[in-house]
Amino acid sequence: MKRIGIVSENYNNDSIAVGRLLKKKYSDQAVFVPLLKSISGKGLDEIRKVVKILKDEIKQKKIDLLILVRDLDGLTSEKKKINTIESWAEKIQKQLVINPQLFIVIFELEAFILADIETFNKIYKLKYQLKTSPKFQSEPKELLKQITRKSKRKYKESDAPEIFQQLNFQKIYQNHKGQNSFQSFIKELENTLN
Amino acid sequence: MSAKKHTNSAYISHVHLKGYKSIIDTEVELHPGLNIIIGPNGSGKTNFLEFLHKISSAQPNKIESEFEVKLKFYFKNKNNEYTYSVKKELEVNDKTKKIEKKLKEKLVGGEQDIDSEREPDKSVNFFPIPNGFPDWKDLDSIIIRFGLPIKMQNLSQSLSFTVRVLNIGGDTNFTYTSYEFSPKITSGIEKILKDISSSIVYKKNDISINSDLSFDEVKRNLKKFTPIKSVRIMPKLDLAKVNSYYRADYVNFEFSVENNWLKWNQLSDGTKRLFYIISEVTLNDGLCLIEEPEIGVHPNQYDKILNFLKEQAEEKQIIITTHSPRTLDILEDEELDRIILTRYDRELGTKMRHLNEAEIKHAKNKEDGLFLSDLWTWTSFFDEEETVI
Repeated sequence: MKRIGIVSENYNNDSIAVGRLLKKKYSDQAVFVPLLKSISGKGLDEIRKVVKILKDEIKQKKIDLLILVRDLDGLTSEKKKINTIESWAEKIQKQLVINPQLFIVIFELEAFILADIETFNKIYKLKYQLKTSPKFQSEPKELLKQITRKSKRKYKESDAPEIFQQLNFQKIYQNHKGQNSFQSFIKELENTLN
Repeated sequence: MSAKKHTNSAYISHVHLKGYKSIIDTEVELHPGLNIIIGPNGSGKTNFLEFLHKISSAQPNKIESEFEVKLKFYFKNKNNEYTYSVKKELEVNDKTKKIEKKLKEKLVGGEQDIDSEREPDKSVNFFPIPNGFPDWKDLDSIIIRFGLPIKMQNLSQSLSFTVRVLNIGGDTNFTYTSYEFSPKITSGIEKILKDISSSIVYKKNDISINSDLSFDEVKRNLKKFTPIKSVRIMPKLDLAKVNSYYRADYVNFEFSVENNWLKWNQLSDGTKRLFYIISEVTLNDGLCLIEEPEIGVHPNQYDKILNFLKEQAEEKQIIITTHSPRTLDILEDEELDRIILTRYDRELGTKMRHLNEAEIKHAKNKEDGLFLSDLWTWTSFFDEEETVI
């Protein structure tokens, strides 16, 4: 059983949400361990500090693989933003200098929710229909907030763990594809796991 | 801050408590000097402090629970350490089928071995500490809870006290008595007034105060560790003679902050709490129990309070609860066993433990540049259970 660490901009929301989604598919192959409590997006940019803590966490928790999750705040086609995040991940990878290493960076969690909009509709009692591919929705977070603005229950980022618990892994895999997508991330992960 | 440096003559070394609020059955060792209790909200930290306060404030008979408390006494002149344990047990009498309370006491060390059993004496509030042992004041505790006690707010009113004049062998001796109509005050403030009254010098109808007061120690600590640079009593102490008593009225405390003399109600809530903590801890010779000293205190100021507590802990046992990670950074590697972790288990109630060997090893060998506060803030090191999905 592999131990996969998850680092994100929000331990309680994003890391737990991603862990719950991946567990649906890989519960017999891996356990998911959220790392770096109390960190924020800005905190993750403090590379030296992040590396020190990660080294300690990886050693103590016997982490085999590491998933770094960062918000893109834009489209996956926005090269400049992607380059910035990739360069950040490379710096972390370079400074960690411990084995085993594997860094997969995925972007914009809310886009995954859009990829299974039926489940979201069910939770928020909506009938929203997505007009574009979830990968080409420029501000998925804002969209979710906007479409629930007049609903009894409004979308909050802290809802993510509950939503991800109910999302359909296969639907996200099918609907979020291409470069820098959930599908490409999963393929890379499976290559390493198998 | 190794055990050898401590000058405590008495401290609580071991507590085994059953059936007190959230505590069903928990056992913990305590150190002389500083002990730091951490744990989530609702894990039972406050209940434990409350119990220690009752047990060390001479109220053991008010506690219905079963307990065993071990006290260690150290006699510097004899270079001996004694352990005195008191155990309260509830047993069902086979004949009467009634629950009976038994108090067992045991003294280990030296020549005065005691091993006895008796019913708790309701008329005696104190543990029956054998003659020749340190006074109870060495253990007598104060508890500093969240915020400020109502009694402390009474500092915004004028206080009064009476002084009884005794003429012993030609020397005039003044003894403090709280004045019936004076607002209620905390034990620390009362100690300040007693201290002043016992230092009154009366010569040729002129009254002055001996400058060598233990209140001065409070003032020094306030100056070193807080924005309060001095404290004075205004107006200048004026005693009115009533028969054989002198009475001081309209006694008001004033505080120098940023070169201004301020009255109590002009201080910020945070500054008031700093005065409360410093005055109570400085003036208490026994056990100091403090709930979350960081509350309402600026982080830089909190570092000073931690230095103050560490310094005070060289002479007295101090047990604090905290949610502030930086508190742990004052501990040296060899002091990691002073951290007590609490958790609440639905079936087992409050459980308390020290770091185990592996955890201490981890804390000592953490990455260079990391502090214990980093482990607490960013990792699950101090969590009782690792979050695994």
